[in-house]
Amino acid sequence: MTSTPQSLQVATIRGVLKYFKATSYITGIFLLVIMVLWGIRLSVHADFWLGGPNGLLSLAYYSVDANGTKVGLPDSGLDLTSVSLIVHGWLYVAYLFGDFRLWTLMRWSFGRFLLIALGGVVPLLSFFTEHHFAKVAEADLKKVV
Amino acid sequence: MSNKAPNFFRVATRPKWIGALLLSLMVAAIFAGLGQWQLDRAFTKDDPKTNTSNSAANLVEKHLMLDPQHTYIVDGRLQNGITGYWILMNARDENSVSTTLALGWVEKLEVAEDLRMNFMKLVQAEAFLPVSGYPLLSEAPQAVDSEKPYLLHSVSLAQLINLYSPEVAIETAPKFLALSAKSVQFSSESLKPIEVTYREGEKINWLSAFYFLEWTLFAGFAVFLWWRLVKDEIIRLTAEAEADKR
Repeated sequence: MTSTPQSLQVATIRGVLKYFKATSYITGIFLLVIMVLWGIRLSVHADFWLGGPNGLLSLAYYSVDANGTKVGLPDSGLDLTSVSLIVHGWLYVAYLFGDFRLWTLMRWSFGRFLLIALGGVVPLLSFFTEHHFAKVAEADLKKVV
Repeated sequence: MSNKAPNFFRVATRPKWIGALLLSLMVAAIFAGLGQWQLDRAFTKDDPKTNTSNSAANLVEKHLMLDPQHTYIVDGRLQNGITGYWILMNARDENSVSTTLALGWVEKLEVAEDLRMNFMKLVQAEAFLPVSGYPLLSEAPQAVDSEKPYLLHSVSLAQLINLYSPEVAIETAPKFLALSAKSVQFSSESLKPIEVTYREGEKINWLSAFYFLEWTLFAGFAVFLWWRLVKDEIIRLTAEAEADKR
């Protein structure tokens, strides 16, 4: 399915392309951040903590008991590691929306949709998919205009 | 190729698109399953508190005979933000069922060790005394250091009853008791009553709650994509039909 986009939609596509580029970078950077936070969580059993008993920003260590319950995290403050994971989840939804919009407007193949979708999950991949498919989109647009 | 623009149903019921529908439903089911899994996690315990009992009404009273010969220390116990030690002692009821008592909290290990030695020398009356405390859940056993076999790293009843009675199997109460401040006094300034906090209902794990929402969204999206792809096919077929006409 390598049909071309409709000429009437060019302005819309330009907007969507901007959105796609922006979300690609944001999700890509956030994905790297949560990989680091996740690594800390798995390796030393600690979450980044905002405003707990140990100051504005600290590492909160915990242990896991027989029921799989995390023990030893502060009662006050905010678990930045968990918050980052939640935020990344919704940034990914926003990214996927851009992927879907672009893919529909550009009339690309379904494989491309999946590949771009994967970009938001595999660390660093979104930078490559953004670079490559933004170029492909620009080239496709030139054919129409 | 027919000249009429194909309707949605005609295209959707082609084997290729039925297959695609099954695939998208399968993906949606997997996503829904992942969502269900996150939903389960969202409402289970992810409680940061160390000693939790369900309510203040949980205070129980038992008549127990102390067994000071079996006194142990367990480390890593948080109280008022300070990590310290608990002193554990075995006790039994009229039916010889063991109940482990957490006598109190001590900040320093040396003090805990002294207290333990004193307790072990204690000549205890062979009598059943009233003891009140909060039942707490047994923890996972953790290996002890052979240099200090009395220093435990968790309160595991399974591990403790083997220490109380290595040869003969004994029964134990399902939970251990953290002695209340009103209970039998063990005269020592440094031994403080264990603070038991109460948990009101269950805590929500927000990460899992949000992941559940996302998986639900993705499951819906998987089916929506199928519909979108069928629509695309119709647009393509219509365009081809138009081209044929000309």
